[in-house]
Amino acid sequence: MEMEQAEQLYRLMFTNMREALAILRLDVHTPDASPQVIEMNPAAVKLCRCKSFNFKNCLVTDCFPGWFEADRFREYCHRLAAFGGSLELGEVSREGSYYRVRIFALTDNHIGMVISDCTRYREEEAEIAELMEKLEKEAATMDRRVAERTAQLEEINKELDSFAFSVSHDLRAPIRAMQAFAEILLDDELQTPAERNAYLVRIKTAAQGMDRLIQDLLAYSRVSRQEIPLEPVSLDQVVRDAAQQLELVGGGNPYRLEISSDLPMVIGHPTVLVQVVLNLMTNGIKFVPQGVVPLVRIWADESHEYCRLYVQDNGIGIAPQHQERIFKIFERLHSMESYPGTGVGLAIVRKAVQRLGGRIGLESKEGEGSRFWIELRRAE
Amino acid sequence: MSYVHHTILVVDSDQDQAHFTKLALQRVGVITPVQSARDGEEAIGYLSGRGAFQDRECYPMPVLMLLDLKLPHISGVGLLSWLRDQPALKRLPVVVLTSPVPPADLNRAYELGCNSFLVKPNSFNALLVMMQNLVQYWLGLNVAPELATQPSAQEQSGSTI
Repeated sequence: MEMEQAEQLYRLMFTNMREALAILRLDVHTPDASPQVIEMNPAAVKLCRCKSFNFKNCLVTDCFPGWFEADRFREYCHRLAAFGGSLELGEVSREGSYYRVRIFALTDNHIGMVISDCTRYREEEAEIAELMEKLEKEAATMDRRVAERTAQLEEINKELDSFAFSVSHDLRAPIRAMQAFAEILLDDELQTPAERNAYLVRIKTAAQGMDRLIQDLLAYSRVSRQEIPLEPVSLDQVVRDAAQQLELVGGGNPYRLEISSDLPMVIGHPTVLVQVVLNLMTNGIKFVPQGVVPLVRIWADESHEYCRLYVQDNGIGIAPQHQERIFKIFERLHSMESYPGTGVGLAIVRKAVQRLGGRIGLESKEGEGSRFWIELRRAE
Repeated sequence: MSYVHHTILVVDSDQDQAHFTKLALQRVGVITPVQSARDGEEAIGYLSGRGAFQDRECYPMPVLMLLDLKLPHISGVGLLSWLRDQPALKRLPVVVLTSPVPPADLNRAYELGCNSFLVKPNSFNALLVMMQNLVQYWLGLNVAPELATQPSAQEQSGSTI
């Protein structure tokens, strides 16, 4: 290639570069003098803040005021000129744009300077960083959710385990009783007719107990699984229905029921709520000391959004340490003889209230009766 | 073989089950009336001789306790733990006789010093065989510990000037 053409091409290349290019000259004899700009391409001229660029005595610090710390810049230039090599000076921000500056040795008294606009690059980087941060946050949330889910599932598994154990225990007890009584009756001719009769009665009782347990388990499973559409329900009607059913299951034992009038409308499900109230009433009239006529009082409290229905009895009460336990399935605080039951009733109540989006609680002292409450959303 | 001065205390909240155990024990030769407690509280009352149980003629100290783990209120495991903390009672041989329980409860019972662990059979005849073996071993072969009715000499001594 001809020298002339090559030179022309070099010049074209220099002029057309998007990066700002500048050639600086150092006065090696006066190390204190600032480098002078002797050549710039148009891109560099655009950045130059010098009033009149004359390629003679224009100092870098005049062309790019405030870009560099003068002393350090000069020192870098002298070092590069002496030893060669190149140096990244880092980033400078000017009027909303960012520039990356690199200087390198050309001759022992000339330095090349490249200024590239990295604004877009930085924006992209910031965007990437933001995305990364978001991603990390999401990953952390996901991790937390997985951990929570795992803990929940482990809890459910444990519950299922103990559920299976309790079911098998409580269902096998009556079967064992029936089998053993039958064996005794079959093997033995020594019993009096009264004894034989008593054994037969106990077989029957065991069968009935088992039937009750299965019914309760089915009710529990229904209330856990079935879809419960929520609708406005009149507590008045619910309590009336439950009271009617209580008469049927009460078995003719005397009890008193005081129901306050105009109970509010709540959000719930009529049949489920009747079951809940009936179970609470049944407990209320069951757990009384011998000889005491059960008295169950029912009333409601309304707050802004919620309504509390109270069911209070004059029964034996529940010690504080057992108050959480009694809502668990198969938990019974008393022997079968003193207060028969399956240990499922309150578990049904709690599950049902949960499914209705409500809460349940109780206040009680041993010997002073219990006051159960359920809290449901009020209907407008 | 009959066992005359061998009071057994059956702790079971299920009255039918308690009845079977008692009946089976009688049939295999336990002539001494088998005593029973319906729950942990009653068992503690019996063992520590509270209230009606003060009368040791009617309610003698047992030589063996048969314990169901599924009790209301104080659990079988809780009762066992209480028993092993009582200086006067802690050596009482305890055979757990229970319906199947989770492994954790079984291990806990052994940790708390139950002397044997049996699972109630469904059939009364099987229970008879089990009680036959149990009585032969625990009332026949096994040498019973001394039950300290009063704190032992060692525990009484303490420091003197």
